[in-house]
Formats: sequence, structure tokens, C-alpha cells
Amino acid sequence: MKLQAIWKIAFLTFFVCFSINQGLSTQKIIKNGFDEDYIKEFSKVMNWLIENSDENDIVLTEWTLGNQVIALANRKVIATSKVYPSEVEIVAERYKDISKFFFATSEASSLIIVNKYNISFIFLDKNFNYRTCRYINICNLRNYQKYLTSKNDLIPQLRSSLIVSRMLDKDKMDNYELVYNSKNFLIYKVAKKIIYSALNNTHSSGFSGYKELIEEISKKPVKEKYSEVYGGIIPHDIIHSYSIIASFFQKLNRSYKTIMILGPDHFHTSKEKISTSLYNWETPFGILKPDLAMIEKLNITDDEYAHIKEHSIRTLLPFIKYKYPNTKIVPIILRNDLTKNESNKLSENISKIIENDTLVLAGIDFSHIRPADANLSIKEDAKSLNVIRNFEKHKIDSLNIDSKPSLLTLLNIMENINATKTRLFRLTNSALINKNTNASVGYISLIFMRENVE
Amino acid sequence: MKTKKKCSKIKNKDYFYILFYALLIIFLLIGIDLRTRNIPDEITINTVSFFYTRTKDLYYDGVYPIKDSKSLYPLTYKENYPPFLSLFTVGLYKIIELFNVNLHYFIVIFPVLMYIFLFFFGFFMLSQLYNKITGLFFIILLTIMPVVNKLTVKGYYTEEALGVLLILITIFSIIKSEENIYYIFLTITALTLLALTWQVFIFLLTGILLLLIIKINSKKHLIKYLITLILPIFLAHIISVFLIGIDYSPIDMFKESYLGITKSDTTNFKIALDRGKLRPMDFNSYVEEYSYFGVIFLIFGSFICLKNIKKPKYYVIFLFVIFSIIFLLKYVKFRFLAVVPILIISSIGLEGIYNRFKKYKKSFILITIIITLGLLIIANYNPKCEMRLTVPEEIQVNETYNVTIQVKNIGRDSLCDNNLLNKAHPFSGLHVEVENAKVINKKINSLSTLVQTMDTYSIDNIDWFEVKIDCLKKSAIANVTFTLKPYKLPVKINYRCWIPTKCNKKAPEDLRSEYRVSWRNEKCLHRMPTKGEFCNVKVYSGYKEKQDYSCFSEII
Repeated sequence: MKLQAIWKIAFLTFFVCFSINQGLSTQKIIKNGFDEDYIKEFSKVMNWLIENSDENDIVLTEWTLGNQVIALANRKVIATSKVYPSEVEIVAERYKDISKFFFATSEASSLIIVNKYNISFIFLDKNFNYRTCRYINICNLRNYQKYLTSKNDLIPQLRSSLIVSRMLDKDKMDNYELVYNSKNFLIYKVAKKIIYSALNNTHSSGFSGYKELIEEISKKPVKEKYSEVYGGIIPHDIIHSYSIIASFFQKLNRSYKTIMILGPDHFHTSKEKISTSLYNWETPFGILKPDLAMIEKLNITDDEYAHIKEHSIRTLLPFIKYKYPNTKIVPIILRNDLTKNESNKLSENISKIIENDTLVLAGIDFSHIRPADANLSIKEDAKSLNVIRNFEKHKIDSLNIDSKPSLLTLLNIMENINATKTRLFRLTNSALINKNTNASVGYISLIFMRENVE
Repeated sequence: MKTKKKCSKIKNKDYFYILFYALLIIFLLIGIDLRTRNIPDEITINTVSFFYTRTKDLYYDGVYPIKDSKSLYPLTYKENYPPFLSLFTVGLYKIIELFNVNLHYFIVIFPVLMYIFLFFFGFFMLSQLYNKITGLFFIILLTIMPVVNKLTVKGYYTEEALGVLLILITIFSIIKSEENIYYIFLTITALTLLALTWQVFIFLLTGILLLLIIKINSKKHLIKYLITLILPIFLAHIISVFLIGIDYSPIDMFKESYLGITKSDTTNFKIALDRGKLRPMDFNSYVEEYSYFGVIFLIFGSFICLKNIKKPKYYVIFLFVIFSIIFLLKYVKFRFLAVVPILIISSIGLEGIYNRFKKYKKSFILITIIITLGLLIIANYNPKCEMRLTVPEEIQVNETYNVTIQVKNIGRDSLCDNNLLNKAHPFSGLHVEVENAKVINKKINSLSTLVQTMDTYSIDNIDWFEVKIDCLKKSAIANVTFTLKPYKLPVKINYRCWIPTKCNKKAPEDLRSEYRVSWRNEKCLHRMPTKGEFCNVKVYSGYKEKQDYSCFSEII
């Protein structure tokens, strides 16, 4: 009996102590599940929404927050977590629409959802769940995470085109105005006057920050203008060369039905060595459309993700739209492992299809030298210029340029269409433009004309 | 002498009761404190707050809201979620508001009130069914178990806490009705209210169906269980559809359950019911919810139930525990459904150790050894990465070749969270160095997870890159293929992998602040190889200084 009593007391004591210890662990678990500041902040943002919106306003937010917006702000949403198995079809469509909005690659595409539900506000948790990309099948893209956050040294204004990333970055947008910003939440108001009409299949070119610069430079007078231009080489490193690119287009004195742009696939993003985009492009000056008829004839695979990620063509689009508002484009990016034979075959195809009112451009940056050395850069680029002028295609491999396939393809095309007369606009480099730069990148701006033209 | 002995016996009994009730009060206070301290007076963000809206609307408008025009704008449809939580809350509030408590605050502390109800009901019922000691253990577990805390913490206003209380009453009355048929009225009442509160009543009916099958030879029990299965459903349907006037019907929930089982493979189902809780519960998740108490004492309790399986108070509980575990293994979502059976059987286990150790000494010692061994094995079962390299047998300079490295998790699921962009986000990975060749391009694919690569960097004659792999689950594979073009022979490939596990170690001090998270502690990472020659390329890995790690090498 005594032993039993001792056992009971000992066990009870042991168990109570362990229970209290477990209770303390449980308290930690519970506490970790609560972010008091977050909850208070959420309450504050809901109060803001009540005070600054109308009862009938519709709020677009992630479905996980839908119920809270209704409960605490008494506003309508397009989806919540409330769903029965018999309702999955309707609810899944709503979840997809929410993803289509947040993962739209242009304001024009996102406006399709805005118009569909008459959205007035967008409420965003800065801890956005990117995994909802699964709903609209864009998660099987390579390097998806890097795509969302990548900031390239050479082009610091390169941002993901996704609406959600632009909102999280607080980029200035034409149709969405940032009206509330706290530690964890953002609210955007849909502009009363929507600047773009809703348009499906549209990417954003980005670089809206260069709008005023492009307008300013393009208005400056030029000494000479050239009419019979069929091809050109321009840089794509917009940070230092935007004036060079703008001047290039200023000097062109004719209109084009189509502009074809060849550029490097810097990061081997595309699964194809040659790829194009079938989408429209939203630029600071309006929408640029693709020449789908020409693209179809070329029979090139489209890879939209690669074209969003790659900047070599996107940087040129605002300039093109500014100068040629009605022109269509054929963007083509080429991987660096494109062989000479493949390049020749591509040039042949292109040469057969393009017409007199087509301009073929190659967006190429020349020497890349780190640390910056302006003189060495000039030396290297002069070598490249000689090769271009003399169409010494066999020497391209030895050049210090970022897209040998683009240059080879362009030279082949120009030869095929007898546009072998070149005129240099400018040869310079980033170290000459900006003495503080870490690397010197060479720029050549040059046109190709036909022989009998002065 | 005899009088003295009698006096001391009485005194001992008095002391025992004082201690007993003191413990009850202490744990009640501990329980309230755990559920309220440092928690703001708001409904928590992760709750399904439309119940909050319904309760407010019911109180201010005086009628239960029939239509919902806000959740799926512009669609307006008839309300189809269970109404009893709001009705009960408002009913109770009508009494409490006399004490000048505002509705919002009442709703916020409602879950804590449910804890208090569970505390007293649970103690009373278990004392009735078993004994006071079992009741005491029940309320201790109720107080400290994480799953119950999450269920009844301030601000977590959902139907589940009330549902658990009704499940407790239902199970109590089922057991009691085995001996006294009149308890069937309590069963029917509790089940009807449960059907009007929480859709998971269907799973409780499954348990009752099993009891019906067991008792099929007894006419009295057969009729009793048939009535118990059918009557509450119809009563709840009449109340909900005809008296309240909404679209919610328990009968429809059978159809929904059927659809939930048969349509779960369709794409739209996976999108619309994309919930973290619709995943199977593994051992670690179970321990997170129920603690090791819910493992150890459940086993002891099951043993006692099996030893006394002929008695209704043991076989009923054992049956409910079995099917609760089965549902838990299917979905984490049923963690609250399983609370009552698991708590009761664990209490039985504790009481058995406390009161009957002598009787079952050998069995208890054997069980203890088995549990200890089991826990030791599980503690060491961590995620582990394994790599398989495929290279060409012979290579030549200036030709291109494909090389594949397959990374596989041969342990349990790696540490994972949804926050991909956070620098603290845990990830598995692969580091690859190639000497004397250029890496031309890289491809990664993995069916089961997101992957991404860094750019390829060059240092002297080495090209190197890393691959990040999110949430590499048990047996999942990521295939990394890259093309190399040798410019000199031989070509040497160095490679290594790592995979994070969940652990509570401290983050190393020499990590940069934005990377200072516990999973970067080397004890929380499995690396392969674990030792040997270092890789050629040092990397930061979140530290302030570059680090050396071991690599496997392959020379071609």
C-alpha cells in the first residue's frame, strides 16, 4: 500500500511537472502563431478601407484574405476560402482569375479581370503567396523565383513584368494608384480613367522611367536623316546608351510596316535556340503589336517567358513605339549555342520573307571589360566594326560581343538583300559616358543601306 | 489507537481532496492564461471569419442572414453554412451583455469560454464514466495540449470548439446509453446540434454505424443506433431549411462528402480546395498537435481499452479513436475532430499507469521500452539528399556533352515554407563546379517542386553554379542537366548537395542578419558528402565570410 501511494505521488508529481513544461512549450507555439503587430496592423488597414471606400466597392485580394475583408471592412470580394466540393468549378474559376490578375505581365492584361468584376481596390499582403501560379499553369517555368526578383547589375530598372511584383515594388503604373502602404499591406485604387483598354496576351516592356528622356532626346534636331535603311545595329544596355538608341531612330527618315529585332538570349532561358513572342507589348507610349503573319511564315517557336525575362529586345520597344506608333514587330532571341549552319538557315528564311518596308535590327552590346577600361573597349570595338563593315563573318567568333549569332544572322540577311553599305552613327562605351562605372560595355550604332544610295 | 488511525485516514483523504481540487483550479487558471496572455483582442487572421460576420448580422438584424452577396461577387446565393454557432453565440451573449461586454470582445473570447465548458463538462463526464482521476488527467491534457490550445485560443472564432464540445457530449451519451437507453435523447440532441454546427458530424456517424454493426444482434441497440443515425439528420434539416430558412442541410453534406472523395483528383478541385490542411498527417505533424503525451498515453490507453474491451466505456472509445486516427492520417484538417477520443483514451492510459501499474506492470514496462525505441528511431529519421551523376565515358575538346545530376531526398520531407521570396526561406540545393570546360546551358526539372538555378560563374578555369530546390519531399527527385564544352582535358566535376530539416537549434551568430534562421545551423542541415576534400569554390551561404564545404569529384 505504501509503495502504491509513493508510486502515485511520484507519478502525479512527475506528470504535473511535465504538463506544466508542455504548457510552456504550447504557449510558445501559440505565440509563434500570432504576430500581434500584424493583427493590429490588419485591423488598422481594414478601418482605412471602411473610411476610404464606398460600401459597394469591390476589393480584389488573395482568396485567403477574402473572409477577413468582408468581416472587418464589410466590402465585397470575388472569392474567399468558403467552398463545398459541389462549388469547386465556380470557385476555381475565381481563384484562377485572381491569379490571372496578379500574374498578368501588363496592365492591359490585368484590366481584363478588373473590368470583369468591376474592381475598385486591390488589397495586397506583402507576404504574397507566389505558389498560386499553379492555378494558371505558369509555375513550370524555369528559374521562376529568380525571374520574380532578379535585378541585373547592368540594368537596375529591370523588374519582373508581373503586376504583383510591380505593385510590391511600388512601381508607378498608369491604371493603379497606391493609396495605402504599411509594413505588411498595400492598397491600390483602380484609376477612374483607365489608360489602356483591357487586352489579353500582353506583356509589359518595362522601362517606363525612361519615357521623358526618350521624348526629350527625340525632339532634338539631327543634322542628317537616312531614308533607304534596311538594317541596323543598336545597343540594348539602356542605362548608358538610351541617348544612342533614341538618336538612332531619330535619324531614320522612313516608315516601316514591320521591325524585326534580333537579340541575345543572355541567360539561356529559352528551351529553343531561336524563339519569338506572339504577345502584344505595353510600352510607356502605347501597345506594340506583333506581326503575326510574318512570324507564322518564319515558323519559329514562341517562348513568352524567355521574352519577358530577356531584356535585349524589351529595352528597345519604347523607342520603337515612340518613333513608329503603327509599326508591328517581330522579336527574335537567339541562344549563344546557335551554330553557324542554324544561323545561316535562319537568315535565308528571313531574307525570303521580309519586304522592302521591313527593318531588321540587331540589339547587340559589344566589348564587356571589367574593370572598366575605355581605351581597351574602343580598341576591341574598332576591331568589331571592321569585321562588320567588311562582312568578315568568319572572324565573328573572335569578337568581344554579347551575341555572335545575332550579328552573323544580321550580316547574312543584309548580304542576301544587298544592303551592304554601312554608315556608323556612333562608337563609344559606358566608361566614356559614365566615368564611375565598374565595367566598360561597348556600343555601336550603325545602319545598313543599299549600295546605290548616297 | 483505532480512533487515531481513523482520524489520520480521514485527514489523508481530506488532504487528497484539497490537493485534487487545487490542481483542478490551478490547471483551469493555467488554461485560461495560456489562451489569453499576450493575444490581442481581435479575431485571428487565419480563421474563417465569415462566422464572425454571420454572428454580427444575426445580433444586429435580429434574423439569421439568409443571403450572401459578398463572398463571390457579383453572385448572390442562399447561405449554406451551418448556423448553430452564430445562434448559440448570440443566445449566450444576450445573457452576458447584461454585464456590459461588447459583442466583438465576446466573440473574441468565445473560444476561451468553450475551453471552460469543455473543462467542466469533460471533468464531470469522465468522472461519471470512469473515475475522478481520469477526469483530472483529461482536464490536464485539455489544458496543455497544443491542438486544444489552438482550438480554444482567444480570437480563434470558428465552429470547431463548439463542435468538439458537442462531440464530447455525444460520445458520453452513447456510452451511457449502452447501459441506460434514455440517454439516447441526449445523443439525438447533441448530434442534431452538431449537425447544425460542424459538417464533420458525418464522420461521427461513421463511428455510430460501426457500433450498429457490432451490436447488430441486439434488437434494442440496433433500433437505438438506427434512430441515432437517422433522426438527428432530419431534425437538423427541418430546423435549418424550414425554421431558419437557409440552404444548409445535413443531408446535402453526404453528397458533398461523396463529391469530395470522388472528385478530388480533378484540377479544379485541387485549385478550389488548395488547403495546407488537406494533406496527410505525418508523425511530426501529429506530435506538433498532440505532443508526445498524445503518443505515449494513447498507446497505454489503447492497451487498457483492449484489456477491457467487453465494457462499453472502453470499446466505444477505442472504436472512435481508431477511426479518428484513420481520418487524421488522411487529412490534417481532422485534427480537431480527433481531439475528444484521443484525449479520453490518453486519460484512460494515464489513469491506468496511476492506479493500475501493479496489475499491468510487465505490459507497461514492455510498452515503455517499445515506445522509447520507436521515438529514438523517429528522432533520427531526417531528410537526406543523395546524388547520382551521369557523365559521358569519353570526351573531346571543343565538343559538347550533357551531364546529369539527379538529386533525391531519401529521408523524410525536407523543411518547407510558402514564402519563396524571403531570404529566410529554407531550400535544398546542389552546388556544381566544372574544371576545364565551359558550362553552356542548364536545365532542371522536378515534377514535385519548384527549382531555380543561379547564373554560371567563372573563376580561372572553373565554371560553377548552384541550384535551389524548394520543398524536396520524401522520395522526390530533381534532375539537373547541363551542357559542357571542354577546352582542356581532363575535365573535373565537383558537386555536393544539402537539405534542411526542421529543428529548434539557434541560428549561427556569424550569419548575416537577414539570413539568421535556425535551419542554417549545420545541425539542421544534411550535407552530402559530410566530409572529405573541399570544393574548389568557397561560397557565402548567408555567412559574413566565405565557407568551405566538401565535394564529391568525378574526373572525365
